[in-house]
Amino acid sequence: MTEQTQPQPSSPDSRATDFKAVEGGAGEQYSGSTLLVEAYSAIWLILFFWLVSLWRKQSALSVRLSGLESAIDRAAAAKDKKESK
Amino acid sequence: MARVTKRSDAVFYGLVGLSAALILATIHVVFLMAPIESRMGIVQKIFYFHVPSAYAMYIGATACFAGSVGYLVTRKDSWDALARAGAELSIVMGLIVLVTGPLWAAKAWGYFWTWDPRLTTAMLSWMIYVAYTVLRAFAGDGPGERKFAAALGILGAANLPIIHFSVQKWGGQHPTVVTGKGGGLQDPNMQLAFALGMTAFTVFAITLIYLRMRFELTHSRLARAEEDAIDLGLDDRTET
Repeated sequence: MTEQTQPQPSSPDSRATDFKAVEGGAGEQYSGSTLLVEAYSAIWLILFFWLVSLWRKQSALSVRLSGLESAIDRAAAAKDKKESK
Repeated sequence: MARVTKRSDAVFYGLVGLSAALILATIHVVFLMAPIESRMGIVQKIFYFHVPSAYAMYIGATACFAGSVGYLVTRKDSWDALARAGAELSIVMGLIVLVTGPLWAAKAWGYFWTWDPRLTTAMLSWMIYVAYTVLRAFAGDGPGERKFAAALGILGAANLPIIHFSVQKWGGQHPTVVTGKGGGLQDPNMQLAFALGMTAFTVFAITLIYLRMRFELTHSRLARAEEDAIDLGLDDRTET
C-alpha cells in the first residue's frame, strides 16, 4: 500500500486570482439553438395573441350589431304600423 | 348585397388558405432544405422570418399612409379603416422584428441591443405606430380625431426611407444581406427559403390588413346602428 501524499496547506496569497470582465461582448455564451427556438416561439406567440384578441373583439361586435339591427328593424316596423293606423 | 358578402368571404378564406400554405412551405424549406450558415450557425435561420416581418411592417406602414391620404381626400370610413389596419399590422410586425433581431444579435454581435442607426430608426417608427393606435383608442372617433390621426399616419411614413437607407448613409453594425447587387445568400436553397418567406409574408400581411379592415368596418356599422337606435328612441344597449 502506497502512502498518499497530503496536499500542503497553502497561504491565501498564493491562491489569489483575478476576475476580469470579458472584452468585446459576451461572445459564445448564448446557444444558437436556444435563441432560434426563442425567436420562432416569439413570432407565433405574438401573432397568436393578436389574432385571438381580434377574433374575440370581432365576435363580440358581430353579436352586438346583429342584436341592435334586429331591434331597429322591429322598432321601425312598429313605427310604420302605428303611422298607417 | 349577400352576393357581395359571399364573394368577399370567399376572397378572405382564399387568402387565409394561401397564407397558411406559403408559411408552411417556408418553414419546410427553412428547416429541412436550407443549409446551416457556416459562420453564424443555426441562429442565421432567424433571418428567413426576421426580414419578411420587417417587409410586412413596411406594407402596414404603406397601407396606413395610403389610408390616411385617402381619408383626408374622401372622408370615407373605408380609407380610415385601411389606415388603422395598416398601423396595427406595423405594430405587430414591428414587434416581431424588434424581438427576433436582438435574439439574432446576441449570437452574431455578442449583445442584444445597440443604438445602431437601423435599430434606432426601426424602433422610432414602431413607436410612431404605437402612438397612432393609442390615439385612436383613447381620443374618440370623431372627424377631428380622424384627421389628426391621418396626419400622424402620413408623418409616420416619412420615417420609412430613413430606416431603409440608414445602413448605407450612417453605417452601423446592421448587416446589408439583401442589396441591389444580388445579396449575400450563396446557396440556392437559402435563396428559395428567403423568396418563399417574402412571398408568404406579403400574402399574410394583405390577409391581416383585410381581416383588421373587416373589424373596423363592422365597428363603423355598429356606430351607425347605435345612432339609428337613438333616433328611434331605443336604448342603445339593446341586446335582443
